[in-house]
Amino acid sequence: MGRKCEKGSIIAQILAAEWTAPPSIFPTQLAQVTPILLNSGGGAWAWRQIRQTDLNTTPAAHELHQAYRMHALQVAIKELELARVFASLRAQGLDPLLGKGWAIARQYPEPGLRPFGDIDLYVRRDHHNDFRTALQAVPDAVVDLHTGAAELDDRSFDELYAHSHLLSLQGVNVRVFGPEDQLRLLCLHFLREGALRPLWLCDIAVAIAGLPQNFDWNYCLSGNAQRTAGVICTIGLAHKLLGVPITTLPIAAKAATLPRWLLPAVLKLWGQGKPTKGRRRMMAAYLRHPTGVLSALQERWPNAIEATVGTKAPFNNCPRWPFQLGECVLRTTAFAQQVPRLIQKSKSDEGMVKN
Amino acid sequence: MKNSSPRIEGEEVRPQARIKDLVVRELQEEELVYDLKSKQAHCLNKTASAVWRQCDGHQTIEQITARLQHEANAVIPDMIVKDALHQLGQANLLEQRATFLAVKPHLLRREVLRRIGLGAVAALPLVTSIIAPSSAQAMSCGDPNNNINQNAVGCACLGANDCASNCCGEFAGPGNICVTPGSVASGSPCRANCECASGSCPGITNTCT
Repeated sequence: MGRKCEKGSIIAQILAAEWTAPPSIFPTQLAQVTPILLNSGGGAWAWRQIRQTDLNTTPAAHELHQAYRMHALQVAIKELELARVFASLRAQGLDPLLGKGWAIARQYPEPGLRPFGDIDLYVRRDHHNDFRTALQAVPDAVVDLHTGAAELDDRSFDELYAHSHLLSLQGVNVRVFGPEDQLRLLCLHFLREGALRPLWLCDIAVAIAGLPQNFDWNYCLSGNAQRTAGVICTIGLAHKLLGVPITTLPIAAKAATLPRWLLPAVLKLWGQGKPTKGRRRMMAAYLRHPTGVLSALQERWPNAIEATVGTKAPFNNCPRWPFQLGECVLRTTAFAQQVPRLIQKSKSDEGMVKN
Repeated sequence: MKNSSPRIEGEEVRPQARIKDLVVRELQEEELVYDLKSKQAHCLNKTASAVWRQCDGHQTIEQITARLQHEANAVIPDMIVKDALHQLGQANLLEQRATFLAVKPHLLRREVLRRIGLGAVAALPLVTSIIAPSSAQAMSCGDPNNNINQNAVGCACLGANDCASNCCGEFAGPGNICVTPGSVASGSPCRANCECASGSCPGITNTCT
């Protein structure tokens, strides 16, 4: 096992303790992976897993404990922001669907275990402008406004609303996806983002562990067959890496068979602790300062999972490099098409940086 | 050791906990408080939290001590309450700006330990600041194409307009990241003029003036 895979395994072992056994690792190993856990939002969850063990007095554990405290507060603050956004939108007669973030964080066993940043709202295409205007009433809120249902666009908005739930937050009604759509969204988002954050797989494990009795598997697995295969694969991954029990689920047999490359690929990614897309330097910035463009391209070399999703390839045992190459070509083409617009934006932003 | 009841303008102090502009989260073993004004986060252990919760602006220190003794069914020296109030005051979690301790805090704690023994260390009130710089990176960044009200601190940007903080700083190399305005003290490394408390991050040194 490579060094990066080894780190990834340690991370998996820590995060899995909720459903398996307390991690049997050395303090040095904990110290090795703590920066990755902290940077990827898994610090609080990791603290929960080690706080009853001998590791809880180590300096690394102290860092994780601090992260837990900080996230607990950040979540409390974010909840106020979220309630403000929904109160404002509802007052303007708008009713968006909230996905990821708080929608899954609330299902964790304690508040603060799952930090969230932006507020992901999903709105019908023809309502986008209304929301854009309405959100100006809450200018300090960080909102990710998705036009359409993103990974769930293989079902209609009517279906999504019919399955959605209204939850109360600080006395404000917040509409979240139904559990079937939420699980599907979490799995597909995890894959689309290249499985970079271990906490995203914890989200899936937490969602699986908390599935309601009347969970409609037929509905969850309906829609685009390629995506459904990805969903099943991700559930299998959550079981293999985090130990969440799936034996009673109707998809257990299918989820047990994962492509050979998938597990090592995820462990390696986790061990690398690479930043997610939104945290990478924007490619457009290299138009002004081409130094470092090669390392930027290297950083953007699509991993096996991103490439599989991006090229709509099947999750099977075939080698991934042709799809990685294909995905790279697709991305480069897409970027090249944007270059004229980006050059214009770059020029207009020139005076705005270092202000 | 002299340890009389603190007074403001002759009146016995009735400590009152601050409520405004605070976000409070109760955890199993402690209580967390975030000051929205000063942007400081504090962690109160059980004792400090218990004292803080009694500060209703009506009870004197004596009455608070009595109430805590009643609730804990144990003897609690009033100097523990005063120590807690002192720390809460330092953290700006009380409305009053009174001096609760007639002696230096470390001398008081030594006296408490002498009186009640080392076994009671856990009972000593403790208000600590929470500093977890790395966890600021823990928030995920949205798709830059979807973000309506701009990116959060730590997310990529091209110009100040891309950032909710309206402050976009440079990486060591090309590319930029949203940063917190006015958060860097003089002499420390900076990534944008707006990141410095002084408002100036000269390009040659990249340290705040």
